[in-house]
Parts: sequence; C-alpha cells; structure tokens
Amino acid sequence: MMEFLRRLWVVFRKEMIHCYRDPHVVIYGVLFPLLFYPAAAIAMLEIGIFQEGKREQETYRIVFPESKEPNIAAIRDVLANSKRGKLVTSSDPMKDLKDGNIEAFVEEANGKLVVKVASSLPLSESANNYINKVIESRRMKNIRKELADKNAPVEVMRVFTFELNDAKRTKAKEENKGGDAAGVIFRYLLASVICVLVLCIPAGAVYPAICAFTEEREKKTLESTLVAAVSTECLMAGKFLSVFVVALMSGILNLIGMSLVIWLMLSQAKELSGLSRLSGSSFQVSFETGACLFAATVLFSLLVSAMFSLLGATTKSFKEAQNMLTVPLLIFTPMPIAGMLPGVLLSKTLAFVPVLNLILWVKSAVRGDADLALVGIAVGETLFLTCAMLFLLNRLIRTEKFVLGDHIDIWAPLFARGRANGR
Amino acid sequence: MAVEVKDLRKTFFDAKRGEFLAVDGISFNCSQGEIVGLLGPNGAGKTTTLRMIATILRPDEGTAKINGFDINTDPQGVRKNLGFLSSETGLYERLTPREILNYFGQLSDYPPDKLNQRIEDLIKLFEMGEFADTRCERLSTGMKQKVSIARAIVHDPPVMALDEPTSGLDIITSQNTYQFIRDSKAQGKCIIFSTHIMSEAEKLCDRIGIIHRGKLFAMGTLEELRELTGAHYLEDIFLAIVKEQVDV
Repeated sequence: MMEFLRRLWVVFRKEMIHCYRDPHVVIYGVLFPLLFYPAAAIAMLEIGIFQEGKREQETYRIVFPESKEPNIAAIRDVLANSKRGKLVTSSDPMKDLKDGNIEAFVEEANGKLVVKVASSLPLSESANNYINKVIESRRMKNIRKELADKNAPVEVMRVFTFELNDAKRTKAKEENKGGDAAGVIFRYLLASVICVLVLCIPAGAVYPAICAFTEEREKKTLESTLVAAVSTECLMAGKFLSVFVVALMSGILNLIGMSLVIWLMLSQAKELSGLSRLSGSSFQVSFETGACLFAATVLFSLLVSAMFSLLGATTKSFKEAQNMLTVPLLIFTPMPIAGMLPGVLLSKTLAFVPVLNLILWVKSAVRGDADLALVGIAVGETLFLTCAMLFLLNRLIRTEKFVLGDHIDIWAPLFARGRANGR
Repeated sequence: MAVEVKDLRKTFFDAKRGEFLAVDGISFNCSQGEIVGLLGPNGAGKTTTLRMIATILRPDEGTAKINGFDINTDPQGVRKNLGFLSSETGLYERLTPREILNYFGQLSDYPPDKLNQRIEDLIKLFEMGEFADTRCERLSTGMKQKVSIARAIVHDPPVMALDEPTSGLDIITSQNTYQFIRDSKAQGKCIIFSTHIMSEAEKLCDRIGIIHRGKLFAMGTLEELRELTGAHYLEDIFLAIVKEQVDV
C-alpha cells in the first residue's frame, strides 16, 4: 500500500508540474478567477459610482406652474432652490419638450400635478424621477405633520407589516434575523455561487484533462508512459487526481474571487442605499451552509474531473479534445439557470438529475430546508457516476485501441468489445 | 537467456484489409552482452514485436520472458527489467530532462539514495549538461533523442529494446547512438533493436533476424546468413531470404 501511495505521489506530482506549466491552465484556472472577476466587478462598481456622480451634477430644465396651492408652491420652492432643478418659463412647453429645450414640464389639472416628459431625451426620465422624489418627500412631510397634529403615533403607518413564520426555515431565520431585504439579496447571491461554480469548474478542468490524457497521444509520449514501471490503477489515479486538484483549486479560487466581488457589491450597496444601518447578521454564513457549499464544490469537481479525464483519454489531438469537452460544458450551462428558477427545489425526481441536484442541494441549504434523504441521493448519485467513469477510464487505458489510438470507442471497455493491451 | 521470445502472434483489424496477421509466430532469444537486430522493411512487424516484448501490446498467442519475467503474467516485472525506446520519441514538453529522468527513476525500483548520482552520470554520459534544466519543448531533435535514451535506461535495466533508435537523426547523433549501444553491450546488457537500415544492422548486431510480413525468416550471425544465402552484402542476403521465402 505504501509503495502504491509513493508511486501515486510521483505520478501526481509530475502531472501537477506539467499541468501548471501550461499557460492555458494558469490563465483559466488561476488568473481569471483571482484577477479578472474581481477586476471586472471593481470596474463595474467604479463605472456605477462615476455614473452616479455624473447624475448628481445633472441639471434639469423644468417648466413648473405658479400656484397659490400651498403644497404646489412648496414643491416649486424646493425645485427652484435645488442645485439640480432649474425652473424655466415657456410659452409652448410641449413644443419645447419635443425640441429638447426642456427636460420636463409640470402642469396643474384638477388639483393634481401632471408631469410630462419626452422619454427619448437623455435626461427627461431622470428629471421625472427627480420631480417624483421631491413630490414624494413633500407628501411624507405632510403625513407626518398630520399625524403630529392629531397626536397619533408614527407606528399607525405600520398596519401592513407582518411576519411570516415558516416551520421548515428555521436555519435561514437564524442567519437572517428579521428577513430584511439585504439578507434576501445575500441569500440569493450565496445560492448563485454554486451556479457560477458549475460554469467555472469545468472551464478550469478542460486543460488539465487535455494535459494529462490527450497530450500523451498528441505529443507521442504515451508509449513512454505505458512502459513506466507503474500499475494502470496508479497511473490513472495520479492523472485523475491532478485534474481533480486543478479543477478544485480553480473552484476555490473562483469562490475567493466571487466572495471578494460579493463583498464589494454589498459594501457599495450599503453605501448607496443606506443599508449600513442593518446588522451584520444579515451577511453571515452558518458553518452548515458553508460546509454544504464546499462539499458540493468538491463533489462537482470530482464528477467533472472524471468525466473530462474519460473524454480526454478518447481523443487524439488538442482540437478534438476541445470539441469533445465542449459538449458537457454546453450540457452544464442550462443547469444553473434551471436551478435558480423560483419554485424549482430538490425533490424526489430532481435529486436524480446529475449536477442540478447539487445546485438544488446548496439552494435548499441556504434556505435552511435541506432534506437529508434527498441530499443523500444527490451525493450518492454523484459519487456513483464518478466511480463509474473512473472504472471506464481504467478499462479504457487497458484496451488495445487506447495504445493504437484510432477510433477509440468510449463504450468498448464497458461491453468488453475492445481487446486488452499489454497492461 | 535474458530474453526468450516464443511463438509470438498478433493480429490487427483494419477497415480496408480486414483482420491481418502483423506478427506470425516469431521466436528468438538474446543473451546478456549480445545485440540482436530485427531487420525488415516498414510494416514487417518489428515494432509490433517490440511493443509486445515491452508489454504495451498483448500477444494473441505466444509469450516472452524478460530476465525471467513473463510478459503475460508479470508485465510489471518486465517493465522494471526492460528499457524500451519507442520510435515515437516524444517527451513531456513542459518538463526538463532532469525532471523526466527523475520521474522515471522514481517509478522504477532504482535505489532512491543512488538515483541523483545515476541521473548526474547519465547527464554526463550523454553530454546533456547544457540543457538538463531546459524544458524539452525547446530542445533540438538530437537533444531529445539523447534524453529519450537516457530516460529508457535511467533504471539501469539489464535488457533494452530499441525501436529504430536512429530514425530521423543526423549522422553525428546516429554515431553517438551506435556508440551508446556498443558501450551497453560491453557492460553486459542484452539489446534488441529494430531497424530497416542494412548498414546499421551490419555494424552493430551480433545476430540479425530477417523479418518480413510478420514472419522471422532467418536468424543468425552475418557469417551464418552469408553461408545460408551465398550472398556477401546484407542487402543481397535480405533480398535472397525474403524472395526465397515468398516464392515458397
């Protein structure tokens, strides 16, 4: 056993060195998750802040009626004294609006204010939002004043506040006391992490699989490898482990990159929307949820590595391998979308759908209503599929066609159609 | 005997030709300190024979023993006692020659405490010092051939199977390879190599096997083959044997 492990380590180490010296692996497995995603997120946030800053400096030319009605007069005063509102006069405001000489005009009709805008103008929509904000502010001020005049407590406005008690969602409630909006957003982001990983881990596993298996045939090193004094199981396990570790590392680096992105986005959201008053518990991840996410990442990496190793072993060239490995990538793509649809939950049927069952497991763990039996099915099935693919790979390596390299039949080892080679 | 090959037989299936016999009952042996050459044209069955000896392919019938280890029942034992140089001398591109030697050395049963010294000796022997730590993707064909040979013998095997070892090499690298084969013989190694170059077989081999269409038609020293055919040059000997056998 010790001898097997020693040789396994030698094969694994060699594959890792060979793999991480491939620029493709470094680009897709390390640089993209660690640098590209956070850099892209930071760039997007900076653009958002820049746009917000630009909006702050915008001024809107508004035609506003003069009125004796106190509320309308007060709103007019606010607009006239604000930095962004610039009240102008016009003999034909509708024409001016169409010509783009003003961004909005407001008219009084039957005691109501009607805001007219031209949505095709760049600032017209923003002007409308700004006017609505000023009107809304005035309305709230009036309501508070009315309540104060009648000595009514402010709490009378909370007549529609209710609390939902779901007996199955105890963990989620612990993590998200009060069920605030930020917590909901955070939970959604957390559940979507596995979806992003379902797309990122295969991208990180493609090149290691090509390095470990396809390249042997393309670079004509296969015979040298096969005459090495090492058993087929050890050789296969060492190569598979290298693909798995690189895929998992890629997943972990993606997790780190995404955590950074989520942290940046939430920090920014707090700043912009005043969510900073919320307690930190809204953004806490329990040990169980974190463990589920990590376990699902490991299981998915195992499945993808086994699948890509098997497919990589059947191909003769880099190009053929890329084409072949694109197929499972395309199959994986709709899984996260399906998994994140509202109402799609881990059920007796969906627990048997590979990959989707892992996504739904994490989704249910984040919601706090994971069913252990269904999770067991999802985990068991993923492990079974991984073992089945490794079994096929082991038998494939022992076939004659694997050595000769032409028309490799992936099912040959399963149905014992292929003749065995000397291993 | 270091190598005993008994009635090896191998068929392949080809879409155009159907099932065909690549190796048809080949038997020979080779003792320590001897060089045996398998001489034949392309497609004669030389590479398939060596691949079966190296445990890459499994024979349909027959067997071979390498230093006492049977290729069918103990392929792992065979691999530990055999240095196989494939005609497809690819190297792991992103590893250095030193790393490749270390990898194959560690996988063999070569004593770990002596492995580094063995690698240094091989680097010196094949004059690889200047490029021992350069990635193989940057090496010339001659340099790669040196690394391939060193890789095949890093575990100091008693038997070597070399499949067309000078194929595609320039004259200087070929001469170095010849010298290496002669030196190995002097060290008591058993060497089987395949070639289609008559002069190569003439220069190096103690015994030559004439192989054609999967059959070993004759095996003997150059003198024995001359006596057998009455021809002097190996080229004429080869043609005489093949023509006679095909006519029969």
